[in-house]
Formats: sequence, structure tokens, C-alpha cells
Amino acid sequence: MTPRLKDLPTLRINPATKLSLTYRGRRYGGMAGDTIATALHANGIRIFSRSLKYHRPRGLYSLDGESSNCLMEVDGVPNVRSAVTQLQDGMIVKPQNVVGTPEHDFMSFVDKLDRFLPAGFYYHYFHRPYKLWPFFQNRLRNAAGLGRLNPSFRMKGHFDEIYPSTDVCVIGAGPAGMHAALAAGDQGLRVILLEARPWPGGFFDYRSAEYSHDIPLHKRARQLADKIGERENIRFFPNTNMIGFYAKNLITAFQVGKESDPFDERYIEIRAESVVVATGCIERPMIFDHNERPGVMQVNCAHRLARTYGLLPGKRAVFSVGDDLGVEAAIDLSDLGLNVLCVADARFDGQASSLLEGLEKRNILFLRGWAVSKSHGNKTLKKATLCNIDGMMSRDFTCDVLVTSAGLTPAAGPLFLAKAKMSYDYFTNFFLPEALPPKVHVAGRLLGLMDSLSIEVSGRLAGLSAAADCGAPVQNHLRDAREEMEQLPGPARGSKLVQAPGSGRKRFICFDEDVTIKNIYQACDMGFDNVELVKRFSTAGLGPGQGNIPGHNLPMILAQYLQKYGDSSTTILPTTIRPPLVPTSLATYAGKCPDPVKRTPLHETMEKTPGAVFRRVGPLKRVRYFSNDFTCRKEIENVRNNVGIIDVSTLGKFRIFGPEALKALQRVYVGDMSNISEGKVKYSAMCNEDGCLIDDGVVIKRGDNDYYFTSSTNRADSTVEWIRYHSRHEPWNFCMVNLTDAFGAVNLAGPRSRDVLGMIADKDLSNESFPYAGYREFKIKGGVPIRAMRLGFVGELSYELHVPASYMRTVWDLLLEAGKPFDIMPFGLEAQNVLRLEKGHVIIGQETEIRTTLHDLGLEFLWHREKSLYKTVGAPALSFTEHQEGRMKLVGFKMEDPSRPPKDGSVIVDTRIRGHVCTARYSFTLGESIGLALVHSDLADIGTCLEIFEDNMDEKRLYATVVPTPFYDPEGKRLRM
Amino acid sequence: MESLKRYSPVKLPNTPARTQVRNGWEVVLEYEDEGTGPFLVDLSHIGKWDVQGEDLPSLRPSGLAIPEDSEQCLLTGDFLLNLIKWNWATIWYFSEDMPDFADEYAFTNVTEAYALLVLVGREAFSIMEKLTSLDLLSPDRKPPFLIMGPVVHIRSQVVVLSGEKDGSAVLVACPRGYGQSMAEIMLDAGKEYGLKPGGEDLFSSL
Repeated sequence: MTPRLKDLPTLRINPATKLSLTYRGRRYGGMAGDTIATALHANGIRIFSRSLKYHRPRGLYSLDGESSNCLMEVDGVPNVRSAVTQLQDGMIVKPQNVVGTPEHDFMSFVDKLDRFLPAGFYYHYFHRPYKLWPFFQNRLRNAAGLGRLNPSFRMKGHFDEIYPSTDVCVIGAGPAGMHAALAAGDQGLRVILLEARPWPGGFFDYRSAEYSHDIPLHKRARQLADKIGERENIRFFPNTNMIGFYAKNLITAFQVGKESDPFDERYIEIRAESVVVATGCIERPMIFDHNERPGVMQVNCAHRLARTYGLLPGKRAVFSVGDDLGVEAAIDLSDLGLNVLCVADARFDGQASSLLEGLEKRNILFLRGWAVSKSHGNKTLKKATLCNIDGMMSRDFTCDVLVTSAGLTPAAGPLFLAKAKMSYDYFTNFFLPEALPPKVHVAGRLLGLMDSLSIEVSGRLAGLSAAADCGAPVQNHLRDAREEMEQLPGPARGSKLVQAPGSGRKRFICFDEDVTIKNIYQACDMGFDNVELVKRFSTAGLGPGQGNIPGHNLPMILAQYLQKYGDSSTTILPTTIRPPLVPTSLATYAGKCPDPVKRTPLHETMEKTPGAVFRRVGPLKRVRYFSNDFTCRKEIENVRNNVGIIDVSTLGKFRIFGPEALKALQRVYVGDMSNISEGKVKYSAMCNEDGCLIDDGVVIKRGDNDYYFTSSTNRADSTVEWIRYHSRHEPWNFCMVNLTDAFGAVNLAGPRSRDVLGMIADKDLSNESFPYAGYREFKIKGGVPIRAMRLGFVGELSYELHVPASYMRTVWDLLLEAGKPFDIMPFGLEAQNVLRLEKGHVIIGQETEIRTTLHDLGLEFLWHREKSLYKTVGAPALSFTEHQEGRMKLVGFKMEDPSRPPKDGSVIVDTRIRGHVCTARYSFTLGESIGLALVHSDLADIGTCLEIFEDNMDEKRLYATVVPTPFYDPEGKRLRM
Repeated sequence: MESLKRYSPVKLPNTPARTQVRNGWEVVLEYEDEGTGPFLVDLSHIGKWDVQGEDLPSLRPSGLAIPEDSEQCLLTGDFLLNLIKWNWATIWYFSEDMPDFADEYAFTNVTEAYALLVLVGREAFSIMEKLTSLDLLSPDRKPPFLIMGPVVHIRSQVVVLSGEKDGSAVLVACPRGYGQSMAEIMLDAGKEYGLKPGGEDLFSSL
């Protein structure tokens, strides 16, 4: 293992804690604080993966995970960003996109075929004839792709989520971000500070350059970090990548947990009153021949390898840079022991004199107006060719590390997501915000500031502005900060260099997708003259690095090249940036994903009932069967012959009251609600604006302007809103309370139900005193208040009992006890389904679909036409569709083969599809198979033969005949007994 | 069979140490090994009323004035009066001797309609942060206050009774059917903070 630099104050590793990883079957050592990539680098591993298209060797280029170079498979999870993933003991790491070994990849011959793979080659070669495209598409997809995931793979780990609210959210904990957080925090505001790295400090953290008065920058960073740590009202989230920025300052992010955290990753959704973006800069890649060869790396990568992880990036280094940070890094690394052969600076002037003196003092060759034009080597770097900007002179240097940067580019992703108006600034060569959304502020290097004090004061200014958004009295502080800012250096001139001289074939603008400059030119030559189109056609920036590598260079290159076609405006436009800014696993987005289940008050009782089989219905868990006989024969026959009991607590239940409650009911129900008799239930239905049935239930008048009504289970959550919505323009005075959960409900059904209920009810239940369609309130065992209705959904004498939810279990037990002599049995949803089918009663959603009106179902008798005053919802549509031809009709049918019911959903056919089976079952009561179907009206006549097709039936068919409904007890005598 | 027993929608996992039967409910006053907090307390049994009407400002339930501002709460004696909006309020009653509002037209007894869970302890807000995006620590609101909104995607009424560190108490009223799920999700969310079931006494002592 490469020996580490020791005793540097900037180190973030802990040599005392040894860790290990397994790479390609061999154990390697690392230490606490290492990332996977730094640990591999320390062990001499330089090739981490192979590229997507050409299978070129790729290695450590950036320590911020901006490209796919360092995507590796870790513990079975592909595409892990090894450059930013903290090493944990025992990790198993594999190279990615490798056929063979990273050093000897069998697919690397593709690299020689680049001439045959121009931009959009798949459109050229594989789309003519187009019918062949799916064949090639599959093969291309198999050949490409980053990482492999076994479909049965289950992501390990703990994924959590939090939804904090805050006054100020600061994105980026560099010097500007920390100052912004402190300035807002000083006002007593709640501040959230997000930082992608494991510690705050930004580009101060690893630099030994002087901040002021002999204080180095790294020390200053720690001073600020200490202050942040002292503030209770500042919540600092390290290891946290901001990924989305939405309206009203909704920020999304994810945090990677430390080993001591109770989560591996957690999704964070922040609602902030004001936001400060202080994400600083990333480096703009230098474009030259073979600019991604292992051994080529960015300036801050090389610098941080040494300063943060104690690793010299190589032995003999050449620097090709475009700003002072590059020169500073060369000097610092030279002092740390790196043999710096040469520093080429693309600028002709503008270098800090102290840096030039530093180079001279160390006898480091300085080439002004020079840049690297080519890297050489087989798999890793062996040599670099530098040339002057005109390309007239060149020099070769034998080296194993080439540190390059064309300059800086702002990490302005959050601003793009926030819909800030961004434009290219020709002085800084940055995309700078021209106009910001309300309550969004920017600070630090994002603005082109390079001076340390300017960066800090800009942070303070942004923090105070954010505090002002929150109503803090900071006007004087703001004025002072602005005045201070005016005295400090403003934005610095940026490097204009885009690519070094030369015209090689392997100048990569996008590492992720293996897109070269030549591919961009090809796209332009084919007529793609817009950066968005070029991006899509060439695929530059479409890889997992989210466009960080080509993001800035692409528009600049395009603007330059388009001049060839007479576009002299050289307008540099950015590409669209979309969330997530950083690759995020779906497991992180899913978080804990709690799945709340809604239980009826009888849930626990049901769980203890032998044979109960639950089924999930939306949020609800309900008993579908009470035995493993899914025909439910015993349950059904017991209801028909004895007495059964079912939990129907999920029905919607509501109170509506107030002087104009009736008007609201008249508005939404198709029936006339003004004639509800005392002690009676009124069955009615609700339609939508199209006259289609959406709900049915009963309404009871319990007092003056005071009604109790029910809805179907599906509408329990939306009925209050439905009524409010349809009365929103009326000044009606009425109130509603959703009592769905307040009352449980059971349906006691069967010829012996009266006997059972009579044993525990303190009420005369005779047919005379409590007839069919009646409503009564009484008590059970003298204590439990009951709202009882005589209804007949299952076609038998039955009582729907609404019981205060907390008493439900007791009442259920009492009924079962009372019913013992009558062989009472619970029945489930499936039995109820068959029972009501026999009776010809519809279930909304089962016998209806989106177009089904009252008339289609034969329920037109529910519609009261004489209440137009109330503008009943759906009434105009019902008038229109009443005699409309060609509508679907609900019909009953019996099967030709009585033992063979068709599956629900089977289609009715002749030469085309003519309808579908809604429900069909074998009826033990009738001894034959029956069903309900929606068919074209010309098939609805009694006696019509229906041809039924089930899936996978081929040429076979089932046959049925349309018959009148109800199938069972058509006179309704059993309901009224 | 024990007659006329009432059941809470929530069954917390620990073993009750002391219980009391109250209006048919078996109320857990204390659990075994309750620990030092934070705690999750089930108050589903307490009286709850929904009060609606245009004459709401003039109503004086049990002689008490309903708060004037939306989302404001009034904690007085055993009553907690919460104004949701100008014509809609809720009343929660924390004691045994239930007031009788049966004859009051504007009142609907919703005791059975809601599960009521209380998070007690300094980590109450950290736990809530994992369950809801509602801003319970907004400096614009002074406890006690009420917010309506989703908690684990379930429409709920949330009352912040106190924001004082160790005495923090957040009440969450959700539809009764979701009570058990809500409790389980809360306990899971609070695992990292050592959240345990707590008896009613913990709440009463606040």
C-alpha cells in the first residue's frame, strides 16, 4: 500500500482505524475516512471501470463523483460512486462494464472502430428498414449499459425519510454557505445547512494557502465549522446531496448515513421560507487527446488526494491548468513531495505574482499560454504532450499523473432547477443568474467570486437577505454587508480556453457516453444547431454524471463550431438541467415507505376467527372468505336458510345538518330527498355530471334538517368533498361530519336474523313495528346504542346495524352468542357477492364502468325528474342519454352449461367485442351458473344468446342466454318477511 | 363474556402495569418498563366532539369560549378547544365525567371516529418530522395550536400541546381505522429515539 502523508492538519483519515475491502477476490487495506476510490488508489489500482461504448480504461478523475469513471459494483449494488462512497470494512468491490479484467478487456477492440460509430450511428445503421430496429435495439442495450442488476436483487440497508421545515435552507457548506447559515442563524431563525461532502469547509477545507494574518484557509474552515456546530438553531446535514428544487422552495435531498447512523440513506424533503445557494464551483474539464486516460485527473482531485487522504497522486506530475487554484495546487503538492515537472497555464496573464514566485523558487517549469494537447500510454498515462495555444510548439514530458483543468464552472444546478434566469457572462465565463426567483439567493464562487473575503461576505449578505425574507429586522446589517462587499474584489476573470490545440479523434467531451468533440461536430454538420438537440442526438451529458463533465464545455464548443456556419452571434446557451442533480437510488426515494392499513373495528376479532382469509382492498383489509372453500357454499347457504353475519363497517356514514342541508342532498342525489318519511330509509344514488352512477346508499331523516346517510366503501373518503364541491357556488348553510369510522356496521341476514337480534335488542322487531325499509334506533343489552335499518342487499330478511365503533367487538360477540341456537355463521365478501348477484343487485365499479348511466343499469326509477330547481348533478346528462341509441345495458344471463360460469371480465363477442361479463358465479341456491354483463343494447333482449370468450380460449366459446333479473326471489318476499 | 366492553382502535405492544376501566374502556395508566421516554400514549378513549355552524362564535360549550383564530387552541381544565376555521371547531375532553352535548344541535360526538395518539418527550418533533411535512415548530405558531394535514399520508388533526423540550407533546388524531397502523408506524419511526408505549398517567402529569 502506498505510504500516506502524515501529520497534515487537513487530513480526514484516521490511520488508527484500519479497514479492508475485497477487490477482484483480493483483500486490500484502507483506513477510516477513506472513500472506496482513495483506498483503491492507495493500493495502486488505477483502472476502476471500462467505458460505456469503447470499453476504454477509466480511473480516478474527480473526487466529487461527477462522471461514471468511478462507478463500481459494491456489495452487489451496481453503479456505486466509489469516489464519494465512504469505505466500510469488508466491502466487496468489483470493476464495472468489464469483459475480462480491467487491464485486459475483450471488448476494448471497439475503441478502434470509432470511425464507424459516428454521432447517432444507430439511426444511420439500424433504422432502415425500421422493422429491424427492435432486433438491434435489444443487442445494443445488452452491449451497453452501466452495471448489471439481478432482477431478483433486493436492496439491503435501512432507508429512511424526513420532512423538515425551516426558515432558511443553505445549500453548500463552504465558506459562503457557512457564513450565510451563521448570518441567518444569528437572527434566531431555523437554518438547515446541506453539504455533499462528509464535512463542511468547501474549497477552504484542504488548502494551506493563507486566509489572513497567517491563518491558513483550512484553519479558517474549521473555525467556521465550529461556530456552526455551536448553534442549536442550525441543523447541519453532512453527506447530503441536494437533488431537487421545486416551487415554493421545496428542496429535496438525500443523506448517506455514517456507520453510527440508524439509516444507510435517507430522503430529505425540506420546505424552506428562503433558500441560499452556495454550491461553489466544479472544475471544467480540459479537452485534449485521450483526456480521460487513467492518470489524468482534476486539480482538486490531485490536491485533495494528498491533503485530505494523505496520498500523493503519482510520482512525476505535469500540470495543465487555467486558473490560480491549479498553480497553487502544483506548488503545494510539490512541497508535499510530488515531483512536479511543469506547470502549463492556458492564460497569458492574470496569475498571482506570489504563485509565480513560488514556482520559480521551487524550480518548477512554468509555461505561459500553454496547455496539454495529448496524453500517451497504453492503459495508464506514460507521457504528456504540451503545446502552446497556437499549436506551434510542443514538448513531451514523461509522467504518471497529469493534473488538468480548463478553469472553473459554477455548480449552478440548483439555480437551473429553481428556474432562475441564467445567462452566459463573458468576463467570468460562467453561467450567472440574471434574475432569481423570489426568496432565493446566491453566494460565493457561484457568482464568480474568487477572493476569500469576498466569498465570505457574499455568504453573509445572502444569509441576511434570506433572514429578511423571513421577516427578521436586518436592514442595517444588510446595508453594512453591501457596503463591505463593495470594498472587496468582485468576480474574477475566467479562463476562456475550451480545448487545447490539436484535432485527435479521442477528445472526449462526455466520459459517461464516450462522446468526442468529433461527434459534436458531426451532429452540427447534420444540421443540429441547438445545444439541446445536439445533446440528445450525440448523447453527450445523458449519462449518470448528470451532465457535470460536458455541461459547460458543450455549449461553448457548439457556439464556437457554429461560427463555421455563419452564426456569428456565438450565443452560449445552457442545456436544461433536471432533477435529480445527483444519481439517487430508487430505494432512497422510496424511503421507509410506510403502508398504513385501514382496519375495521372488528379486525382483531376477524383475525381470531377460524378460517378468515383477508384480502387487501385499497387501504382496507377485509375478510373475503371464512374457509378455504372459495365457493363459500356453506356461508351462502347458511344465509339463505339460517342466519349469517358480515362486517360492513367500511360503508361510508355521514351526518349532514343545517337549515339548507336538504338542498345539498337534492343537489347530489338523483332521488327526491324531500319526502323521506320518519322511521324510513330512502335508497338513492349519486351520478356524476355525465349521468354515470358513482355511488348509492340510504338517507335517513333523524330530525329537522338533520340527516344520516351512507355511501359505498369506495366513496367514504370523498363524499364530503363531493357535496362541498357541488355546492361551492351556493350560499347554503349546512354542515357535514364524516362518521364512517365512528360507527362500525354489521349486516345480520337470513330468515332467522330477527330471532337472533330479538334476543339482545330492547325493541319490538316484528314486521309490523319494524318493516322492510324501516329505520329504528334502540339499544342492545340496554347499553349499546344502535342505528338499525331493514335492508335487503343479499336478498333476505336482514338488519344493517350501525354500532359505535368501540362497541363493535362486543356487539359482534353478543350476536354470535345469541345466534348459536340458530347456527349463525359469519360470511365474507365473496359470499355477499354471490348472494347479491342472485338478487341482481349491482356493485358500483363491478357492474358499472366509467360510461354507465342509471338507465344502462335499469335504475332509472331512482331518478326524480321534477326537481330541476336543485340542479341535480347529472340530471341534464340523464335526460340526454335516456333514449340514446347504442348504449350498453346491464343484463342477467344463465349459462348454457349450468356448471361452468365464465370468469369475471370475460368478453361478450360475435364478430367483435360486444360487452363484458361483470360478475358470474355458480349459484348453489339456484343450482346453475348465473351472471351480470354489460352488453350492447341490441343484445339485451330476453332470450338473446351471448357468446363469451375467456382469455386463452382460442376458438372455443361459452354460451349464455339473457334472462330477467333478479334471479332469486323476484317478488322480494323474503326481504319483507 | 364480559358485557358492553369498549375497545380502543390501538393496541400498543408492551404489557400494561396498571389499568382502569372507564365508561367501558380499559384505559392503560402505566406500562411495564416504560423507560425514560419518549412515549407514545393512546388517548383514543377521551371524549371528542365536532362542532359546526355559523353561530360557532356565540357558542359556549360548558361555559367556555371557542378560540377566535383559526388553528388556535384553548387548553383549560380538562377541555381542549380547537378552532379549525370560523365555523368549525373540535372539543376534546381529557377526564372521565363526560359532558353531555347530546342535545346541542351543532355538536356531533366523534369520540369513536378518531384514534388519538400522543407523542411525549423531547424527541416528539424529531419523530413527527419523519411522518409529516407539517411545520410543527413554526415560530409563527404558539402552542397549543392545531394543524390539519397528512401524517403518513393519513388525513389527521395534529395539536402541538407544548414545545418545551422534555415536556413536548404532540397529539395526532387520525381516522379510527388507521389508528393501529399509525401507532405501529410511529413506534417504528421512533425506534432510533427509544420510543416506547406510555400509559395515560404520563400525559396527565404534563
